[in-house]
Amino acid sequence: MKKILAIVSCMLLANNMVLAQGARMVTSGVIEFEKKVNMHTIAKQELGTPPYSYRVLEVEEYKKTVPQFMTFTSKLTFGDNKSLFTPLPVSSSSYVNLYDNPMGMQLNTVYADMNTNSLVAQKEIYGDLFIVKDSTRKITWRLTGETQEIAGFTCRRANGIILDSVYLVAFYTDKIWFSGGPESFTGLPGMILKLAIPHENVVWTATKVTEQTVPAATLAPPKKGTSISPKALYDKLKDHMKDWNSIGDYELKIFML
Amino acid sequence: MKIAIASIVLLFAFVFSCVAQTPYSIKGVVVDTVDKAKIRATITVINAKDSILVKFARSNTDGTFTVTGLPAGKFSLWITHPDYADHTENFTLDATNPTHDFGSVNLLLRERVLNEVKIKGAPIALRIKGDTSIIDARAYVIQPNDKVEDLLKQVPGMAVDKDGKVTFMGEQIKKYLVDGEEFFGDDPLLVTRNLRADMVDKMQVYDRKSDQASITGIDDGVKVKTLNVTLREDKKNGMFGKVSAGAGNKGLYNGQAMLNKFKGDYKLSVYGTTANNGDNGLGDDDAAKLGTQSTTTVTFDDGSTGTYFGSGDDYDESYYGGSGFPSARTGGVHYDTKWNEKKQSINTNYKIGEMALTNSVNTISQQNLPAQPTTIDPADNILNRTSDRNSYNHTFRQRGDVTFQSNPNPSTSLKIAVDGTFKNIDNNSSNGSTLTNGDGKLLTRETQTQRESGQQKAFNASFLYSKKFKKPNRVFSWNVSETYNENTSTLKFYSHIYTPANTPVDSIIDQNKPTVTSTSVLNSNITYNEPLSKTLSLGLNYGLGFNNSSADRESFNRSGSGNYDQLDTRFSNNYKFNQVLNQLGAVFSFTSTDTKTTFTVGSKASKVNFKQIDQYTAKVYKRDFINWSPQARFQRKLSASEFITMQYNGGNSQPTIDQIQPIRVNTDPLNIVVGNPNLGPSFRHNMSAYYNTSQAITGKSFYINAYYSFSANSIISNITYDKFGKSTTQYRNLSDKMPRNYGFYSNLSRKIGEFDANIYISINGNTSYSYSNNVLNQSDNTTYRTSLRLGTYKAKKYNFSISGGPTYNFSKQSLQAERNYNSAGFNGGIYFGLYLPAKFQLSSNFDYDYQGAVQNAPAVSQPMLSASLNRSFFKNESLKLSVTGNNLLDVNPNNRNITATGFTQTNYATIRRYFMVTLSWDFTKFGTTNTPAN
Repeated sequence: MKKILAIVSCMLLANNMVLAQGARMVTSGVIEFEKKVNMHTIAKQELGTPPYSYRVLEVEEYKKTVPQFMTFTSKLTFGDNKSLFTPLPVSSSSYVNLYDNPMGMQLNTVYADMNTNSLVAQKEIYGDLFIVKDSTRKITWRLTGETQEIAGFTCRRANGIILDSVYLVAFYTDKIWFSGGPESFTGLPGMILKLAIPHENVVWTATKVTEQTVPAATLAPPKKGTSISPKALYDKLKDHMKDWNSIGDYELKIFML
Repeated sequence: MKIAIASIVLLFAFVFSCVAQTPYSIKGVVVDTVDKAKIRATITVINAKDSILVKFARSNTDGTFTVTGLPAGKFSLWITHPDYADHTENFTLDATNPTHDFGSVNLLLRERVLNEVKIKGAPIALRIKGDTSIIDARAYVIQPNDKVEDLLKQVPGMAVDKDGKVTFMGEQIKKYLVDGEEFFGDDPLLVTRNLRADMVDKMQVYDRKSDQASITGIDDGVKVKTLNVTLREDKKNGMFGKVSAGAGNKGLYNGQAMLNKFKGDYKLSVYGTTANNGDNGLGDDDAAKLGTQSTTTVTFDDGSTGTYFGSGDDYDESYYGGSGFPSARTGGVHYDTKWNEKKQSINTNYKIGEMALTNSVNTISQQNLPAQPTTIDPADNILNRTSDRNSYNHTFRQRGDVTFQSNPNPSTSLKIAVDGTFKNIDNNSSNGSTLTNGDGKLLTRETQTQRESGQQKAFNASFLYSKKFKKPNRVFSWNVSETYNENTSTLKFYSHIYTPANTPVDSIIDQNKPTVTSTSVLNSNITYNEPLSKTLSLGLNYGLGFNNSSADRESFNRSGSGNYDQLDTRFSNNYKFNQVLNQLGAVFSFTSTDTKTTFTVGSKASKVNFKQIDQYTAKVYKRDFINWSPQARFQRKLSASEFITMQYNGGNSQPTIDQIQPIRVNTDPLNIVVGNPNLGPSFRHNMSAYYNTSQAITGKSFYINAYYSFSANSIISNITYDKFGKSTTQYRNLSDKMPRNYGFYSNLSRKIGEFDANIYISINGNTSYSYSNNVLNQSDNTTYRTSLRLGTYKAKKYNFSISGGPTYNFSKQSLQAERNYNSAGFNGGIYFGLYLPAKFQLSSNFDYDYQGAVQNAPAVSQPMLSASLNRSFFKNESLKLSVTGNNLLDVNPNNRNITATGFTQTNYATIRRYFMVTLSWDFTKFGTTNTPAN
């Protein structure tokens, strides 16, 4: 068994190594991402200000019974200057998402078209499906000299600010000539293979990069849902959650990410 | 594949040309250093200063690249390729070099360090969000054992003076909270000089509304500049404190001990101090606390400002302002705790203190009177007064308070607060003053002694209940407060006035004056907020207030037996006052659907019934009036960090009872006040606007505010002088002119190289009116001030700051148009701190204050220099021995005040130069106290 595992991992590694070593640039393929969330910490965001006492008790109980970290998987297919980010269903039986925290779910299917610099995101919010058409997101990126190896690729670190206040840490590789990334995070001179929102206790990490040609048909924007502009969605949510005090502010921010 | 790449390049060219049609661009060719092979690399352009990504592109198959649509500025080019070492190069684009051609860029197949790129990952030092400025503690240098004050001194726009008063963007911070909780009755120094800087996570500065306003959203106009210190979660469990003892020459000493224990649900703090060098550190602004409101109290602007009884409280300040020789001992305990899942909380404080102040003050003043037809000698139009006053004041005070809060569910809250203060006061003073005319001819000479001893008691109790309903924005609240004050005092008063031109030339008052005053104020305010639509809501309030007061003042002359037992009925009186206030208010609030715009408009009307009963004569004086106070406020969020606010409020000011019918007093025989029963109310209009923007990433911030206010039918004084220099004051309404105040303040902060730079400009001016010998005088004053501050530091190496700027004061009196009191001044300071080998530290502070000479008053120049050398012991530097020299240039401070018709200059006695040796020990028991890496 161990042997088989060793061989498989060697093969996988070799596959990645080949990609990483060659001078050839990657322009199409499939990337598998893993979203890791600190469920205990995000639960505290739903306590309210001042904290609802019953929730304080519930969160304490939750922390005792549910593992601290939860992992979700997703895939990003890219090619022909377009990409589609699709969440994969949760299989774990121990998955409990207290108060339906939006960060503890995968709600977005995101199509990006770099030719027109536009995004089409399908968002599932409190049971509703919305189709949000937007330009690629405005993120102020600051490059640092730091590097990290992710899925066999040398990645460069960039710190970013999205929605004017949310701090991001991204690692991108200029080996992949596609300025995309998980969810709606784009805009770096290469593919984002790791993205953390430190203050929201979440990190997306690429676990596997496969270079392959991608049939154009697989890169189609999601269609199902009510079309809505980002601003209209924001207003709608804001209105919906206006009495939720800090919980509303928190969830709104997560939905708009 | 080729097509795809070409389209990528095209795409970027397209995108960039859309974003900005600027003429700036770069180009070049990327090749291998060795074999000159063309390389297809990623071309990234970042700001040279902060490494922010500006544009990126990819080179073509032939290695050529162009990046267009760049702005002007300084950049770094970053050419990267997985197989090659990064190439970085700085370049500048400006009008003379719109295009930069890098020519052939050679890449090496080897690693290279990115040393040309400055990476600054520091947190953002100061962010302004709407009405709140957020200061991130991690962005500042924190030395071991630094206190919150050391942190505040580094914040752009924040100024900390030597007494520990903090000013932010030109406004003084009045209230201090720790994690949103009051701490020692918000005594500022207990927060700024006790709490450790390394415990701080964030600080917020904002305008705190009254409890009722913040719960209900109905603005009652009460706003206090507040600093809230948020502690780091990991530092909330532990114990810390400080013990220090110092001894100096001239018999000066200073001792402090503080202990704080913070644990999840409670905070316990104890302190004690003793000092006679004025650095009693934990002073408190007691005058603002005694007999005034706790935070829940309803305050009605009933327009009848001013006290009903002359207060006689002039020296009632335990806060040492640098004048005289103080000695103080203080101590206190603070405890707060939360329980039942933080639904209930108690916050309690007890403070005890004793302060004595010995002072001697010399005052020179000049008053210019309009030429009078009856005056033969023009020299009589100038009055020069000099006075010497020696005093000793002693105060012993105890204060306790308890606040209970309960939030049984998210929609209901209840707050009950009770406090009490006891005070014993002894004030003794002797005063000699001389009044001469312009030629130096003696008009009067007065010698006066006063010995006063008294007790003061003050109690406050308040209750606030609020309930939010299911329907959003529907809120009910009820606030009730009771305030009770009682003062008992006896004054022994002696005055001898010598007037050479009068007969008789001598006038003597020798009296014993017992006084008992009491005030009881009960207020109730009910508010209700109702949403009218999704964007509009209406807030209503009804207030009811009762004020019952009494003032019994007696004056006894000395009889033949030597006892003070002859009642002087002219200067004895006993009044009772009753006031009933009914207030109704309505305010509409509009919030746009995008929540970017808010607008409120409304008004309050108060009906006041006032009754004064003279207990001696049973005469009743009644007064009924209605006050209007309209208000409007507009705020728009232009972007996440850009706000504009405009507001207006207006209100009646009723004449005070002292202006209508003053109580006769003879403690100031040379200055008499005469009532005017025909006085009417004045109406004041206040307008203000402010704008702020902050660019978080680059650390730039800009703030601007302006205000303008004017009064219609304002109440002004008319002072007439007789030929002996005695003044008589009467108030009247000014109908055809409007006094006004205006101001402007602007602050700009940014980083320049290694320096944090901050510049502000302020303009303050007013036009005021007064009558002098029945002739109207218009006084125009404008003060211009600007100051630049540059600061730099290197952790564990040095800390340096320099600030300064000129002040111009323009002052003009219409009665003496030929004279002016214009003066130029300068304020500045230099601070440096140096880390020397072997754990020695040297620091020095120099402040310079200069006011130019004006008519008959010489220039005031005050250079204040202090220096300190200290050595730290132990690994965590917790033990410190320091030698401090204060006021090294041995300057005697004085101050000058320009009034409508002249000036007053005061010189006071003070400790002056002294040296002190201090040993202090900081102790902590947290998990870690490491200085954050910067």
